[in-house]
Amino acid sequence: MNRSRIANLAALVGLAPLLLASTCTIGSGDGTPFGLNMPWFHQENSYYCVPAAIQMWAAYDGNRVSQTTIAASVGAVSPNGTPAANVAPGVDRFTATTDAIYEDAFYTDRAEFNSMQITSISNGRPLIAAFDQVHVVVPSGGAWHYDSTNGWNVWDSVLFQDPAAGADLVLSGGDWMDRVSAMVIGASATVGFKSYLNQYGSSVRVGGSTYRAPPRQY
Amino acid sequence: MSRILTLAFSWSMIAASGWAAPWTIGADCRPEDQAKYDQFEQAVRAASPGSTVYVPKPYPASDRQVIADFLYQYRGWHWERADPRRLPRGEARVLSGILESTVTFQVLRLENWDATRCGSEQRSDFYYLLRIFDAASGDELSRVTLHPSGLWATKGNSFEGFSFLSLPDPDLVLREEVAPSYGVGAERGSTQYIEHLGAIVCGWMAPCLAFRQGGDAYVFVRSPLLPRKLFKIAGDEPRYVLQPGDVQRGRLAAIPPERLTGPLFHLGGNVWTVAREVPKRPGASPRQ
Repeated sequence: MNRSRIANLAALVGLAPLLLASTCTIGSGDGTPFGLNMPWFHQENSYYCVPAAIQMWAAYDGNRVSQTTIAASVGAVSPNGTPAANVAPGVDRFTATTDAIYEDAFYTDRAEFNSMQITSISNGRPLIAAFDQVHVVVPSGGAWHYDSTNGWNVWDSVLFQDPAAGADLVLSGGDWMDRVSAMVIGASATVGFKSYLNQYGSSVRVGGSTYRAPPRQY
Repeated sequence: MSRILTLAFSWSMIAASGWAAPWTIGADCRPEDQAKYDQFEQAVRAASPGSTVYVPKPYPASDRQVIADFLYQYRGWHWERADPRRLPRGEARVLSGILESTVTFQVLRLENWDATRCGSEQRSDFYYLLRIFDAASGDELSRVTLHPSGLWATKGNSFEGFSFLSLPDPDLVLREEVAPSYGVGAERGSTQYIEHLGAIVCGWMAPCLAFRQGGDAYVFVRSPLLPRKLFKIAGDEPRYVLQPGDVQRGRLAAIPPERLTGPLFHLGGNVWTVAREVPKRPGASPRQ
């Protein structure tokens, strides 16, 4: 078996649970919130949002680690916190994810950026999202509904854990798109994210927004 | 619906009456974006049920209209059909209270000092903050923000182990919490609650108190989760232009290192400044 066939097989194996997950979450029609039931921890001081976010992700994966341990590892310092470049290595060190990558919203196609997040959550894998470049939260899921009057799959909301503000917060889909400036996400958790766009792209609408993903062919 | 009561507290009425004029230190939205904001407003006003930007009372002008917009959007989620185990923490009480009309509301105004003030689609100089109370017990169950358009923005609940801080009259917070600890006063009519997410976290669940004094702006962080702190954003503090992504990538060469001794504060667009923590007066009680 040559390398490319192995890669294709791996991609198919990776895609199978994704497609399965997508059929029972996005467009399920009833607007029921879905999510990871992420644990929530509040940050222990004003510049520990990243350590607290990694702590939540680690706890989701069954690892208990203190914020001070994480802070020492990722170089969190007062007053402005953790260098962005250290977040993905911190995730790799303390969670079950080993291939975390940093994605910048400013330089990533908007639809793809969102599709990566949705794919990861549908695959049962957390991510960390940055708000306005200087605060981070951990999305836990969201809600969609199918509008039979127009055939739209409407992305209503995102549930997330905010280490400074509280647990299980709900943000409209449109506001989520506006706020998130970067994310740290497991690369393998996003495999097949373009299939989401292909499958749902033109029928997806976002609550509180007039945004429409451009038609695309993959 | 008829049993849903609207509470009108004195300070929210005063805030709405105009003598406490809203203000911001944020950068102006770009003039070239105004056409986009106008287009969005037209879309909201022209939307019909089923649209992602439909609300029954576009750009609500009264507390009742704000509540009507929230209820329409909340009921549209149909969370009563959801598995209760999948609902956000504290949601079951909110849901039953709304469906059975056993809740009361208070509508406040939060000034938006966040980058979302000049959003990619809508301009939101402020948020309507809905406080949802259980009518029988008076417990505050949830806080929700709506954009000026009436479109829903955010929501968070109280739950076992997490309660909201009270939101008294801003002048009272100044008088009882800020002045005794820091010896700082405010220009008359300048106190207001703000939302700002960043290194200084002023979420809608725990908005910060902002006020002006002598050309400087102050932000007082009141949070149930973090120590209370007062920050000063001096009028003569340099403003720095940073490109998108610079802050999160740590590309801060535009800021002299000796100036970077406080948290960065986003003023909107590409404009940032540095806030300074104000030390407590000697002997001030470490009130949390």
